This record gives sequence, structure tokens and C-alpha cells, in this order.
Amino acid sequence: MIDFKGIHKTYPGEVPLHVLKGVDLHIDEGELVSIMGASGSGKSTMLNIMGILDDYDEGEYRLAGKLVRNLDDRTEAIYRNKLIGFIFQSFNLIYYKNAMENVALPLYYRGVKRKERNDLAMEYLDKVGLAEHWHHLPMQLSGGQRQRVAIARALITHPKILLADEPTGALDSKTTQEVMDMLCEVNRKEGQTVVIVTHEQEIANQTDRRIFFKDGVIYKDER
Amino acid sequence: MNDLINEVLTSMKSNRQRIMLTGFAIAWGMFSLVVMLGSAGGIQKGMFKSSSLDMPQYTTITTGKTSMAWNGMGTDRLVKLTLDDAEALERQRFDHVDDVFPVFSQPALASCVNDYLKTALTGCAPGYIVSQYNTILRGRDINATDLQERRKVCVLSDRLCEELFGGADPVGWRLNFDGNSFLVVGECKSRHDYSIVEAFAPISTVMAMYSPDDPALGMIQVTYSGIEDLGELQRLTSSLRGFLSPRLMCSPKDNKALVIRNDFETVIGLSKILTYMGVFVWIIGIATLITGVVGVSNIMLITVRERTRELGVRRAMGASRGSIIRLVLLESVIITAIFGYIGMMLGIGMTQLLSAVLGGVIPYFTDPTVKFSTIIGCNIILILAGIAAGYVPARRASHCKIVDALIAR
Ligand SMILES: Nc1ncnc2c1ncn2[C@@H]1O[C@H](COP(=O)(O)OP(=O)(O)OP(=O)(O)O)[C@@H](O)[C@H]1O
Ligand SMILES: [Mg+2]
Repeated sequence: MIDFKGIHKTYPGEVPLHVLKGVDLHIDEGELVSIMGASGSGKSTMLNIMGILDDYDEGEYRLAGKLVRNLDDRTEAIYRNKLIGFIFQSFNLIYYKNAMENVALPLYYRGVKRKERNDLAMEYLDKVGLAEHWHHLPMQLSGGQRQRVAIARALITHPKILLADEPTGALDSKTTQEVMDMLCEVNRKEGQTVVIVTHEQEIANQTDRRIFFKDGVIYKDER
Repeated sequence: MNDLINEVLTSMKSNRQRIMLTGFAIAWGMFSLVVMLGSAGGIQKGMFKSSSLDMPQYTTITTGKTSMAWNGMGTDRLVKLTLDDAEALERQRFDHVDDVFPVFSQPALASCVNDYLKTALTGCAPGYIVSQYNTILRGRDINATDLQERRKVCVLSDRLCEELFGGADPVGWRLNFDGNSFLVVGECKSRHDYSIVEAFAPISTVMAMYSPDDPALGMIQVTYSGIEDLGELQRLTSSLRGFLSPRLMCSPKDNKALVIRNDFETVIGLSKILTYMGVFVWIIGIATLITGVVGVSNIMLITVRERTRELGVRRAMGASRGSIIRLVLLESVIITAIFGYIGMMLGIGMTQLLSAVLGGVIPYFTDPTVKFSTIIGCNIILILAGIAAGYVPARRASHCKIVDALIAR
């Protein structure tokens, strides 16, 4: 599903920062993986490359068998829309859209009609237990609720891969567990590949595979 | 598209106050453009009306040497108008054209028993004298029979009568022009304050006398009516030109070979002033509008910067650069269009008000309303303005890297 071969990434600048120094990684379809590592070790960078939000300098990245390199903007957009669901630490909901409209957004870029995408958004809001909050704006929701809206938004396109960058970083322990349960369930029931970047061992322990990151390379990969 | 508009409207709702501020700039620009165009139009119409009200409306056509090659023929050919051309023009029945008069004018020595005088002898057709702002004071105009039979009859201006006959009724007397005896059949008087020494005779007679071998006329005069603005007059002029130039075998663009002069333009020298005024008004109006556009553009830049993160999220969700550009451009166009319309409507209302209040009071100010074509033009300008205002912000929004956009404040 995800295939990294010798991926290098350097952030240019006065002092160029060589963040990824030849990462080799293979993640199969249906895996539930966590990525851990010290702050600044390049976890987010790697996840962004996986999600085609950022590019890489060297190596080869294949996503669902397709080489992701120098793609044109439209193709990239289509891949992002069809293959990937993203969950961020800071939720990244659109503040002036209500819960339902936020969840429906990816379908808008798929050209789904409004009625249809709102119906589907309601369905997914129901799945994350927020059906009666559909008309609330993000700021009227709690952190846990916001993240659940974001999860619904990531799931609505039924992506092959769910990428979550510290999805529980801004949540308390109770809601953290709710969110984790949800991600695990998605993986188990729908067979979607889930990759979670986290600092918390407790979260990593709930995943089937734990990847440790250090100095720009993977130094431990345990199942 | 419907969906896109909806997307834009939702984002606009979240930003009402700022949009009102920008919108005001655009509305004001459009308002002033429309009011100025309307007023300028009113002044133009007013000047046209007052200059043409008691003026005979005619166009004179004369010829000269060609200044452009045409159909393989070189320059410096002398082009001549003939009676045939005048008749052909007459038969063509152009819109607004009432009469076509061939004219042949000649300086001549007028003499009678006790006196003589240098004068202008104008060979013309029936109706020409009256078209020249004259009234027949005594006797009659030249008529068709005079023309046909080449009678040696003439109509004198009151000044000429004054000089030669001391104000007595000249009708029935005889007068010599360069030795040819003419019967005076009428006396005419100019309605202008001034009057000149001149005499009129049938063009057939005058041409037979002075130019027996050359059919070239002096000029053709075309009188018209019902023309209300400069544009219509210019259209008439160009159709005359288009009709005559192939007959005269010269280029329709050659305005040395074929000279068409509009009476009221030359008399008032107005056309240029009016054109400059129009251009001036457009420049000022558009400058005002540009201020509005720059305002919108700035606001859009700020908006786009503030929305960096949102736009990044949209791209992470599968929005292409193009769709981001469309989103921003459309927002810009909608803002400019909505407020531009408000400004335009207010402007039209204002000109109507001016028309109602000032129309009758100030002479050079008639019906200061905005033409339909101007409104169409303004609409096009508005859309272009919206696109112009949104272009830079839209590009900036779409060229930001997604990762950078996602960590923006
Ligand atoms: N856009 C950027 N430009 C320059 N340097 C960057 C950029 N993004 C990240 N970096 C640097 O690259 C290194 C890796 O960043 P990254 O965000 O991948 O780390 P991380 O492992 O996710 O850390 P954290 O656990 O704190 O989120 C850091 O030192 C960071 O400062
Ligand atoms: Mg990180």
C-alpha cells in the first residue's frame, strides 16, 4: 500500500536540514501502524510525504502501486481526494462551516451533489456519534467532538489509507481513548490502512505495528 | 457552478464587515463613473440640440486629389463629383437624408444699368436656397422648369438687392452676370443676423456658362433631419463615403479625395471637444473604479492570507490549484459585481434625478441618461475588474505549499 525506498528529504534554508536520510518502509493494506520518535525527528515530514502534502528529494515513493513523483497538480489532488484521509492534531476544520458541511467537504471536490453529500455526511456524523450536533460550528464543539468531526471527514471518501498526525495530541485521556477506539474500529471493520504518529506509548501499544524513528531513519520496527 | 457559488457565498458570509468596506469602494467607483458618463452624455446632447435647433442640418461633399492608392490606381488623381453622383445619392434614399443638392459656385461680376458689383453666383437646384437658411422674401425660388430649360433666371440675396437696386423690388428686372443677361425672379433673405452678397441661378445654366466641357460640380450638399447625436451623424457620414468612394474610384479611407464635412461640426467645432470630454470622463471614471479594484484586491490579499490554512485544508481534501483559483476569483468577481451593480443602479437613479431636476433648467444639459451600451460596457468592466482584483491573491493562494499552509496561523 505504502512503499518508501530510500526516501530523502532536506528542508532548504541557511542551514539546510536533512530530515529524512534514506527511509525504507513498507506498509501493507489493512495494517494498523504507529510511528514514534523524538520531537523533530521527522515523523510529520514522513507522514506529509505519504499524504502527498509535501515532496521528497530522493528515493521512490509508491502509493497503492503508483509512483508518486513529479505528478501534476490535478493528479495529486485526485490521489489526495480518493486514496487518503488526513487527521490532524489541530483538527483543521473550516470555522465558518457547520459540522455537516465540514464532513461533506471532500465530496465537494469529488463533484458529488450537495443533497447527496449532506446525506452521506449525516451518516458519517452518526457513525462518530455526533448526528445531533450537525448544525454546530467547530467552535461550538469540544476538542474531542471536533476531532470526531475531522475523523468523519477523513472517512467519508472511504480512503484506502488514513493518516493521523498526533490525532489525540490536543485531547484529554478519556477522549483520546474514544478517538483511538474509532481508528482501531475503522481498521478492523473496514480494513483501511491506518498510520498514526504519536508520542504516547499507550496509543502505540494499541497498534499492531510500531515504528521508531531516530536521526532520520527507522531504527526499530516491531510487531 | 451552482455549488461553487454556494461555496463562495458561505465564505463571504463569514466576512461580512470587510466585504462591506471593499464593496463600498467599488460601488462608489461605479456610481461616479455612471453619473459622469450620464452628465457628459447630457451635455453632449444638450450642445447638439442647441447647435442644431435653428440651424439647417446638412453635410457638404467635396472632392480633391487622391492621397492613397486604390485598386491599382495611384495618388494625385483629381476626383470629380458630377450630376450623376448627386442623382445616384438621391436615389439611394439614405436614412435621415431629405435632399441632395448639387452645387456649382462661381465668382461673377453682377451689373445693371447704374451699378456693378463682384458677387458669388451659385448654380443650384430648387430648395437649395431655403436649405441655406434663407427665406424667399419676394418672388419665387428657382424651379424645375428653370433647371430643365436652362433659363437665365436668378434669385438675389437682400444684400445684393440693397447694393444694386437700393432696396426696391428687383423682381422682373434684368441683371448681367459676366455679360449674360438674367431675369430676377426672386429675392431671399438670410435668417442669420448677417447676410452676404450672393445670387442663385439654375445649376444647369451656370454650368453651361462657366464650365461647358467639364461636368465637375463644386460640391454636393446633403440635408438631413432626425439625427440626434454625433454617433448617428458619423454613421450617416460613413455610409455616404461608402457609397460614393467606389463611384469616384478612390479608397473609402481617402479623406483628401472625398471630403465630407458636417456643417454643425465645423460651425461649432464641437465634435472634438465632445470626444475629448467623453474620453476625459472615461479616464476619470475608470481611475475611480481602479481605486475600487485596488481596494478589492488588497482586501482579497488579506482575506487569502487569513484563509491560508483553510485553503491548505481544502487542498489536503483534494482541491486542485485550479479550484482554489476559481474560488478566490469568483469571490472577487461576486464582490465587485454585486457592489458594482449597486453603484450602477444608484448612479442611474442619480442621472434620472439630475435629468428631472436640471433637464429644463440648464440649457446645455438635456436628458442626462446613460445609454444601454454604456451599461453593457460597465458590466464587462466590472467582471474584468473583479478578475483583475482577484488574480494576484488567487495565484498567491494556490501557489502556497500545502504543508506550509497547514501550519499557518
Ligand atoms: N517547512 C519546514 N521548513 C524547515 N524546516 C522544517 C519544516 N518543517 C519541519 N522542519 C524541521 O524539520 C525537522 C522535522 O520536523 P517534523 O515536523 O517532521 O518533526 P516531528 O517528528 O513531527 O516532530 P514533532 O514530534 O515535534 O511533531 C524539525 O527540526 C523541524 O524544525
Ligand atoms: Mg510532528
